[in-house]
Amino acid sequence: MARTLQTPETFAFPLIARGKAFGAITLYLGKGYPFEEADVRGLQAIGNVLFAANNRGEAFGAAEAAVPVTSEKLRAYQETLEKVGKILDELLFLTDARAVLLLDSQGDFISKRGEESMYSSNDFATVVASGFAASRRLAGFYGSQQTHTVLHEGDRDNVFVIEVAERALLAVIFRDHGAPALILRWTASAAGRLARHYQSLTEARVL
Amino acid sequence: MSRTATQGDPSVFYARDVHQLNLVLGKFLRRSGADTVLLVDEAGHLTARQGETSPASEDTITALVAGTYAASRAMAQMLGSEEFSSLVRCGTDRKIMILRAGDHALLAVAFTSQVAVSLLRTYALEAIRKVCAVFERRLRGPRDSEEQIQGQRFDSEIDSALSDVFG
Repeated sequence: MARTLQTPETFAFPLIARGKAFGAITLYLGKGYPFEEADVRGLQAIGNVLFAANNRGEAFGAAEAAVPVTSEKLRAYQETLEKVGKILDELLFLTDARAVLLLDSQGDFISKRGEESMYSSNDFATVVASGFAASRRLAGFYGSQQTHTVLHEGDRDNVFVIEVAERALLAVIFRDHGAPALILRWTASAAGRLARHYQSLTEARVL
Repeated sequence: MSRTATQGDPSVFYARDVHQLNLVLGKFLRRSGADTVLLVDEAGHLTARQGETSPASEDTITALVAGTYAASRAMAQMLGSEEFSSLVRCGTDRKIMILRAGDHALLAVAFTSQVAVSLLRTYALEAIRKVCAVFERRLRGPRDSEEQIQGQRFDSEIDSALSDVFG
């Protein structure tokens, strides 16, 4: 190789992780190439990527105390998201709503289904969460420690918001409906099912 | 008279205005069967109230009412609606309905599950119509002599109270 490339210098760098060599990189340097500290760091980075790829995504040099993002955990996360998505799809189908949003209590999206429009924006989610926070305090003053709901009724669109496991909010945006009470019941039922995935949702936020 | 008196200022209420608003709210409460009704301005200041005493500081309650409605209104603007109302269900037995009353006020009604929401809304809309009529009269009509006298008496009482304190 050196003869083919006609390079005078050849360097072989061992790839070492956790005290064990797992390979080597051979460099054929051009004439007069100034090998510097930055090149060493670049080689270390390449070595880290190769080690991680060879060890199923385990981060090279990660601290022992840190929670490893194992493939099992990722699989559980994926399964939870699929279950949550299925519940939201069912709710969207049953209620014929324009959109169904699952938010955390700060107004960040966990998942959403339905039309991509103003209701799927971050601004809308923030307003929903802030309004719900104010009404939660209000309900608390009137002696309710139970789950409470808020129905915002407009000229055309209505927004129904319910708590999920005291940490998340489920919002359904629907137009005039023949049986709004049914929408509220279906949404409450979906919130109950989502609450059962509460732990997984919390872990999902950690991930 | 409540707050600083400036003719045409929507935040100023004279004794007659407050009396009329209380009459409207009292009648609404008797007819609808609700527990409490509050008339709050958009900034969260209490204008008039009837019914049960608030379970917490009135300022806190009215501020939360205003906050809930401000969020509703922001949603309405995003969704292209002009009118919006909020219905808060507190557990299984209590509800709070918040409706817009004119351009600068909100009507908040606390009631139990025994009261039909649709019936309560009908009575509330009727009460809001009367409340708006009081607001319009207040902004348009000239103050009568009795209220001017009340205002002068209030000013003199404040002057004498300040004199007592500062000499």
